[in-house]
Amino acid sequence: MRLPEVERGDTLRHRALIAMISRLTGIRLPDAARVAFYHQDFAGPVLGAWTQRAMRGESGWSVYERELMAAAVASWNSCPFCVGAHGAIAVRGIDRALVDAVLNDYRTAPVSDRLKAALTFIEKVTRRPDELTAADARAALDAGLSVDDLRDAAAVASIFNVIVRYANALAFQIPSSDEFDKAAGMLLKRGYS
Amino acid sequence: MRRDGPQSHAEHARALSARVADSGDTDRALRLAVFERAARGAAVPEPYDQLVEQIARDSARVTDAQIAAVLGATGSERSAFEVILTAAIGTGLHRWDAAAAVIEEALDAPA
Repeated sequence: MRLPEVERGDTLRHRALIAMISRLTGIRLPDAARVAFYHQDFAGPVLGAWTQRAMRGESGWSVYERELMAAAVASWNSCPFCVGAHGAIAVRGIDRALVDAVLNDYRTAPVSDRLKAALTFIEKVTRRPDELTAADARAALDAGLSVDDLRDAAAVASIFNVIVRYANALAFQIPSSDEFDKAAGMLLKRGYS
Repeated sequence: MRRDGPQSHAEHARALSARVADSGDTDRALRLAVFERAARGAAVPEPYDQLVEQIARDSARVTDAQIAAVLGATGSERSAFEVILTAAIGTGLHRWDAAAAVIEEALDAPA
């Protein structure tokens, strides 16, 4: 990671926790978790609380659909860490071939019209936010999304447009497939905050 | 239709924006300027502007040199971390604001 202090921990307690979790899980604690431990006086915990709400709170989307949305946002932002991390969770609830098809090109993937409409909206949120119009929102609502579904998808997209940027900027170390899989289990169990 | 209430996305977004503004070791004016720049606001002084723009527009191309320059300017990893997160959060919240606005507009439009 580009900031060594973030990687190793900023307090004795955090360094000990990072070491202990790594030992107990048998994998190097992923950099995303190290960021969550670091400089907690700043914005991390507040971002974590929103991430927990968006990814694990009450929603018309399943946890796995939201993780797939996060992976899609990561792919549009060229963040291999987040594609790997959230793809590894998505495949625990969605067929791997379908996850791969969505990440390759959601437009041709055999997903519901509702999910496709959400992905269409959040792709524009990600790539061309200044070109968004009410017609984009209306198209998603007309495809069967409730207002809350659309807000939930927009929240996932916005949050992961934050996370992928600091993941890339800090040059997160990319875990192996096995490590991503183990970390996916931990994230499903513990959540984001 | 579920109405926005406690813990709505809008409230979380506002809380995040406020936390960036009101906490941190870096100069508050710098943080606010970085936040705005990430959302396509006015340029900030170098070496911050190059890094903020890179994070906002194409974060996969951030370089060691860009991070090192900001680390040198801020004097600490905590402060450099704040600049990085602020740029990322400013970019993300710009997207939230845009999405939330068009959703509200779609709801207000006559059927």
